[in-house]
Amino acid sequence: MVDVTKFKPNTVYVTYIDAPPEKVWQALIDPAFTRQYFFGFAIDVEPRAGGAFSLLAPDGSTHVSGEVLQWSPPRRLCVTWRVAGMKDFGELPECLVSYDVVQAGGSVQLTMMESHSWEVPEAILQGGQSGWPKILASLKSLLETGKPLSIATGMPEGFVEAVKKAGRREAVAEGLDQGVYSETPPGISAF
Amino acid sequence: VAGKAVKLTIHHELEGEGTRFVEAVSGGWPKIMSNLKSLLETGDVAFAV
Repeated sequence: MVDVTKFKPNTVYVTYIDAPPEKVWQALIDPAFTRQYFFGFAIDVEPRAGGAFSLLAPDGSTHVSGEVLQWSPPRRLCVTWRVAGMKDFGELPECLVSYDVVQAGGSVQLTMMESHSWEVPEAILQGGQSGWPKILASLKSLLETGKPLSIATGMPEGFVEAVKKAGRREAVAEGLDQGVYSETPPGISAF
Repeated sequence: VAGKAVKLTIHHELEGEGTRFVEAVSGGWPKIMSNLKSLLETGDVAFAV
């Protein structure tokens, strides 16, 4: 089991959705929904802590794989997140991704947190900070209007290079204690 | 403009430690921006204030 105390949130996204918590939960864990708002990826998740989690690309290949750490419908889902669909990502440490669904008046507050256990280069964090707003804004549109957003995809400039560079450094540092965390404030996205 | 959608970014800077910064900023802006998005897309707000 992953030691979650070693992970600190680097990217936090909070949005309010006009839908019941159960509907938001379904959109998070049902591949028929994720295909529409998550760059075409289909979620495949075993509904229990300790179960397998993956995101499958439209061609059926595994883009992200991981393990379910918390499964508490319709309130909280937390998974480990290892990017498998990009060649250079295999060598980087996995991160945690959590969704919290909280009733807030007549709507739902959805919070996504991407947490890391190492000092992640800014260019790599930019990957999530450019991707999550697109994904979750589209999820909100899908639930409120029935249609996802039409958004251009693609990684920010310098992202792949940063992953390659960090992958080499992590390979060297493997086996060393990495209990050091950046105190910089997490990036906030709120739409 | 990103695809057919629009990307709107707000920068809000203030002094303070990480978690308190999160609390301070995540309380108000997400509600406002979520409502703006809903209002433009559906004609109604998501979060009644």
